[in-house]
Amino acid sequence: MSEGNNNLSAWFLLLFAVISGLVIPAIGRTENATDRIRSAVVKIKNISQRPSYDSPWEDNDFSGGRGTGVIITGNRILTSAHVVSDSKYIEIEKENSGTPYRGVVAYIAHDCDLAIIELLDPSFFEDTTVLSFNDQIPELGSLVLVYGFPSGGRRISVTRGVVSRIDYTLYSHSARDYHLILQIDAAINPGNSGGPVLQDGEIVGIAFQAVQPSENVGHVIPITVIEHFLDDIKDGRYDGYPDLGIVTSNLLNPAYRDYVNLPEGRTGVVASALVDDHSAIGIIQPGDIILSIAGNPIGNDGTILIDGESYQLEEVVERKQAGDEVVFDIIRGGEEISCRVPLRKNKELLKTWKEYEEQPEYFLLGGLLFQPLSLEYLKTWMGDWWSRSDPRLLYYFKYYNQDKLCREMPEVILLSRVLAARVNQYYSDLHDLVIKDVNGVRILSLSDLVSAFENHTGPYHVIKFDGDFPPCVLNVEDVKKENQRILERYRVNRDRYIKK
Amino acid sequence: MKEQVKQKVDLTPILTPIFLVLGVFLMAGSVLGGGALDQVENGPVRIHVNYQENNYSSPWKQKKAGSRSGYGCVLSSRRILTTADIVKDSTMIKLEKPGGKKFYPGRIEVIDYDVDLAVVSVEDESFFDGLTPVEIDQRIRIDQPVKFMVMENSNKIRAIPGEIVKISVENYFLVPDTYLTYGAAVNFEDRGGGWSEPVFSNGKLIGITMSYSGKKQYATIIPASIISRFLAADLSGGYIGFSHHGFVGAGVRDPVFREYLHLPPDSGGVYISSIYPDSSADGVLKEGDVLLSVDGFKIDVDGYYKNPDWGSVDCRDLFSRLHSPGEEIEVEIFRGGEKLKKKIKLSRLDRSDYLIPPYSNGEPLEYLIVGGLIFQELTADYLKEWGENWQTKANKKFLYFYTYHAHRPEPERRRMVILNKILPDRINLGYQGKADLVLAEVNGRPISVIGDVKEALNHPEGGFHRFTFEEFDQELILPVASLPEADRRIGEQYGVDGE
Repeated sequence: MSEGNNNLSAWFLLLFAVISGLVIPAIGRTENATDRIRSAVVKIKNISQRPSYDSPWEDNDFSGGRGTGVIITGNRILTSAHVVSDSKYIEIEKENSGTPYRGVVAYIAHDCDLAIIELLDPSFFEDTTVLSFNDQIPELGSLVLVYGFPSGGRRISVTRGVVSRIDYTLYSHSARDYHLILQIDAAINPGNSGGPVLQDGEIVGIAFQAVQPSENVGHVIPITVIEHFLDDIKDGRYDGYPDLGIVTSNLLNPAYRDYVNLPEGRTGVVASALVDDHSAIGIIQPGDIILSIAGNPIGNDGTILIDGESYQLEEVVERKQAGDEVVFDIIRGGEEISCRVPLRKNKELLKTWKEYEEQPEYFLLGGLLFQPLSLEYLKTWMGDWWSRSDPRLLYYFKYYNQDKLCREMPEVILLSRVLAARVNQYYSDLHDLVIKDVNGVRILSLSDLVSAFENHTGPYHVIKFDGDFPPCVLNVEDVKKENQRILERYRVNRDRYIKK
Repeated sequence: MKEQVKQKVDLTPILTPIFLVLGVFLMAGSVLGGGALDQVENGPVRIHVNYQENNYSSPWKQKKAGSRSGYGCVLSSRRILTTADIVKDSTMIKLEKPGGKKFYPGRIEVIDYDVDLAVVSVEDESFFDGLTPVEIDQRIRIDQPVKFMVMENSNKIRAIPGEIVKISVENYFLVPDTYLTYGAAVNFEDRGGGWSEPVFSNGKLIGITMSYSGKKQYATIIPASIISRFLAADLSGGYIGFSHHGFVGAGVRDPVFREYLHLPPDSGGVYISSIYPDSSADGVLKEGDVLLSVDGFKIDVDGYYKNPDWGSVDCRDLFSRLHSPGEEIEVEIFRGGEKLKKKIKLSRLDRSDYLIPPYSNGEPLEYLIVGGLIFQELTADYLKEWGENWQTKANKKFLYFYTYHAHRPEPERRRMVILNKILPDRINLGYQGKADLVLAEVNGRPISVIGDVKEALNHPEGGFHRFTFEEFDQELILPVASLPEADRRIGEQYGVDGE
């Protein structure tokens, strides 16, 4: 009896663990490490700063990280998003040069851990080369070379590895999505991140994460994911992956197949639930048997065949962009029909993934700090947040879609804590309570909350919480009088940040 | 012979770290009993218990058997008083007199998990020869010196001195609910074998030890007044238990909150923020009421009443300790700007009143295995199967309901019936690995208690059983025709019994 949650912790993000002073001898030139390749691989240094989700008006301390990048066409450097996320300052260096160039993030895709860096000074590219992509996924068992600057180091390191598995894995940088990866048996070390993985001199992937408990297992972002990213940014903006939002049940069970009257010789899966606000809702219906996706017949286990390899049916969507369409053949009420599902990026209101480059939303009034529930917020619980946070918060977080809590509370707004002041002296210990209503207004979003306070005319602010808690009542005039003083005392420069 | 270590676990507040009290290894029989019969009068008797608990993770099994020891006191009704945590889940109870040398079989006559008390009877009347029943004294004051009576391994009775330092309403040992307790400063450094030491003052029983912290050198005592009410609640018609206030409340110290409620400046009270369904308070009190007085006692802004002997005490004491279920008490409330007098008919908060029962009642666990799908009702004991840190490790949905809604059954969902796990077999191919889901319907019939599953299985839909779960409305389908054969196969394979 254990819970299959928190697989996040099983992953180890490479970049931030670079230990200065640890010298790893650079590997000498190998047969394949031609000058051409070496002059396309660059070292990246990033100074980053993350906002504080605990005191959302502040930033945390600076931190530094290093990684690798590869020059691709158009004077661009491709790397992993985590190498350059939350960046304040980026330096790019060529091997052996010692001259740093200033880089800027042109595109960053946290869900697939990829980014494009551009340089302010194009002269950087004068003595560099460009590597091209191999658009085939390498075969299992084939050899690849990993180029990079593990543990910093001035000179390039090349490691040889074998493609040992091609599978779906959580991309731990954002922990938002599962995408395809290549697993290789070469160790990927801190600093390798963002470096190219080559076969026959062409890029077949970008090294990006390691599996912590196992030794010598590295994960590589495959070409399909890279191409999806490059295709997505063609319009000058990264939109991200569309989500189907179909929860499927396999049809491996013969009785289940009989029950849904799956015709003899046909295979497929049952759409058991549709996630609110995702692409397929309203088009696919619960109980539909999905026979094929984009012409690919679906097995009873939910897999399809692409180029002779078996993939989960979502792989079709993995290779499409928002705005594309996917055609499904389904059986509904005994009739076989086709459905077109226009793919779109859903707006997910509960952020269950790691966020970067984002300013945390909050509202502070009378010392009461209100914030939306999110993964980043839960992580402010010290130590192992998954164990320690309040059970109500964890339930809302994990069962938001499963138990359709999203319908009641599209955004879960919390009284996260109280900055103690005279006006709130009887409430200064409150924390992590879910807001139900404010001044009689049901709260469905942070902006609802702000207007419920600001449009209120009575003498008291009355805040009601989800659960058996008594309300919190503040005197409106006292709040007005003391609010500015509280902001000053706690050095809060703005009383709110609310995204448009 | 080694006694198993008994861990006393502080159950409340529900999510604070577990706090352990000493484990004691008793070397019984290693030293022969020595006289000391001058102290037999009022002295404790020893209770040895063999116990075995249900296995909630694999409900057709039992957990490994264990044993524990504690003390009991002889009552004038020629029965033995002890704590419920000593005798719960017992398979055998043996009593031993001071001086030892012989065991007398006993059996539980009355047990109340709420107040952690039990009465054990002894068939062999000769047990009582030479034993004098205790006299119970409900009077107590802070600073009163008391004696914790223990029996050394030599079976010699010894009195460990302590002092009452606190009289307050606190959480009890087995159930996350509060009743009156005494707190005593005492050092059990030389604690003998066992638990639940009787506590005496001036030769009279003033309480029984409920828990002890070696670190704090502090014992929590079940007071004589709770014991007396417990003994009085055992009527000829059956045990009626303790009444429960049935609401969640908060003090009204904040002047702004008082203004908002229009409370008179001099009044205290308890703001009622929630009411348990079918409880004493249900139908009389309403959310938003302020409870001003209970049974003639004024409630102050922190929710305390003035006890004539002990000073401020939590007003919940007035509901549980001074009246029995069935009795009426008068309360004064403040509602909509007016003071109102109301009568509350007190009732017990029974195990059946919980959505998620916090304790087992020693009865076999009800479960149902159909096509390898194991169904049972969610209980605190099931959550505890996640191990030592169950309060943080268990399924998050279950923990949420246990923490915040355990008292809140609904008419359509009196218990949470869950899919524990699936025993793999070809009949459940494709479903394996599903676990810890809440069962909403079987064959389209809503499920409120485990018994509903069995009933719903009498109404298959076109040769199939359909199980619908709350999470994402997932469905599992089993074929009716091949079920008997599969259940037989699963029974043999896993050694399970279907019900």
